[in-house]
Amino acid sequence: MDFDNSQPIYMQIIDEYKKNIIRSELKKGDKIPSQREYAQIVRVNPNTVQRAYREMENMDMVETLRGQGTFISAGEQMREQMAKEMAAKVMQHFIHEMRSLGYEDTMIMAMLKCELEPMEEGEQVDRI
Amino acid sequence: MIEFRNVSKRFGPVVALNSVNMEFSAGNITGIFGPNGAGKSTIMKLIAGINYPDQGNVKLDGENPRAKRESIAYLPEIDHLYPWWTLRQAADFISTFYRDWDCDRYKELLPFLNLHEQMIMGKISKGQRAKCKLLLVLARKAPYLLLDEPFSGIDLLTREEIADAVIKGYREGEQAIIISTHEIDEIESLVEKVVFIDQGRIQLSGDAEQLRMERNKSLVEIMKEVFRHGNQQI
Amino acid sequence: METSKFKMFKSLYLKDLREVRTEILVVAAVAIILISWAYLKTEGSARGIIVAPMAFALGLAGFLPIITSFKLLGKEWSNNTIYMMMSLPVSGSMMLGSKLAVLVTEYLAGTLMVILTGGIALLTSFPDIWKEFMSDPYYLKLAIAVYGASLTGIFFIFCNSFLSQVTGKLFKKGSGLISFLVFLGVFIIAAKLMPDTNILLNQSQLMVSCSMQEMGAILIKAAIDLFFAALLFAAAVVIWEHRIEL
Repeated sequence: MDFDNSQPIYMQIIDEYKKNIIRSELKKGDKIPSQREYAQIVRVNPNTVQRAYREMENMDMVETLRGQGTFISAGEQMREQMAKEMAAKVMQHFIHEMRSLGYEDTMIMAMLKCELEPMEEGEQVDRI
Repeated sequence: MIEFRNVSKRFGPVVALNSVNMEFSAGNITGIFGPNGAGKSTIMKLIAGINYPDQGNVKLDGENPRAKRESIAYLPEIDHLYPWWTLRQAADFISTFYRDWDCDRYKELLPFLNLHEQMIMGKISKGQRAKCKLLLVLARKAPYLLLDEPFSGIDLLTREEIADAVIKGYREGEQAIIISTHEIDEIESLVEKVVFIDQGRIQLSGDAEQLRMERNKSLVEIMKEVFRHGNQQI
Repeated sequence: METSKFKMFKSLYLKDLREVRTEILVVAAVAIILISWAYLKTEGSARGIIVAPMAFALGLAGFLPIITSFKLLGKEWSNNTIYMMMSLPVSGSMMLGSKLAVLVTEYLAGTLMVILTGGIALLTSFPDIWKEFMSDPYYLKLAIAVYGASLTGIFFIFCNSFLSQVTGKLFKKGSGLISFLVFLGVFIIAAKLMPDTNILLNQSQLMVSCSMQEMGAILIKAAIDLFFAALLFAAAVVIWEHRIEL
């Protein structure tokens, strides 16, 4: 996993897990790597991973069972919630950037439609 | 805990450190960043007890660094191993002196770093030597681990191996690791605390994640910014 | 990992012993070759000439360790291994003590080798000498005293070598020259404080005209040498522990 070093890494770790959950690649009850393993896999300071895991526990995204490991605890409801939030964030960012380039909202709509059309004919984006 | 109180050090006309104050606590990986000649190595040598401050003092757990040599694992920038040593001989020698030598850790890291015990220090590549040096300090459960320019002159793949080994060898909570380098890229995500030093002065220090959050910049970018400003003042 | 002062000393000693292997072999080779050559080329009383190669080999056995004493310490700096040595959790006295032990080993091994080779050659040539030597225990005592005094003398030189080198290392520039000057200076000062240095140099004459007085003089001399050596050693240790920077 490559990090954007201009953003806090622990937040990127959380986002990565969120995306995995949103895409249903990780489901409730799935075991995730221990903090130590994860730190080694992504080559990140173990304390940073610890911070990310702690935050995820606080959000009830994951739970750590003593002696057994860390498991996804986010259910379907939470998945939908996270999907909405992340999608909204991406949309807001997109709209903000487009507007800062001087595009009118109608123009943005038109462009978006134009961009998306060939995709509708081809592979369907089935998730979300 | 390592404390620097108003530490100044000069070598002849060159001011290596100018009234430096800082602290390093256990359970952290700290990066000391700065251009060549900024004073990074001097900081390491002062902690290792092979340099003495002209003014101020350096304390390790409240004591003189030389009295705490047993708890320091120091990897100097230069090659400090006997050229005729095999890795095995080096390990045997070093293990005689430190109670915290961890034989299991040594055996575990050996294949992890792609090293063999029969390698002769004077006959292996620079990258392999760098890994041998690292292995010999990581095989100790030393409370203080000092890595002075562990990446300099080493190819990209080996740098990654070194970074991986540092994470693998890191003892969370019990160990303070201090890495000095002018090549931040390699360890951007490895360090938790950072100290930017230039011309013997601390230009900026703090929590790596905090700095990213506040400035929306990577440590590399922050370093460039800090040192540009630093140089303008002169 | 269990550690002990003894193990540490042994590690340091064995590491440096490696550096003097060649020198010991050179002395042994020179002694055996020259003495056997003199032995084989001569007959009868002419074999007394064996003393000449023996003296030469002895000189070499005494001189080489002095060279080594500079090499042993200087090499740590030139190899950068001084970074390893200075960061080891051992005292300066153990560090320099182990090097001193290596140098003494070199001296003992070399000189004893020469004495043994030469002794065998002389005894097989002149069996009567041995009888005479053993007839009076004083000869043996004197021989041991002289050898012991040579040892304290070389001790003094080794310690002077250490002190002058570590003093030189306090300076970034001209450290070699400063070492040399200190080395000479210490000899001059010691000679001033010790008026009878000539006795040591004339050990060979003592063998001829020995008396109890001379025996006493040798022992006093040795004791003074040892005292000075200890002072120099202590000074070198203090500098090593508190002043040397890398």
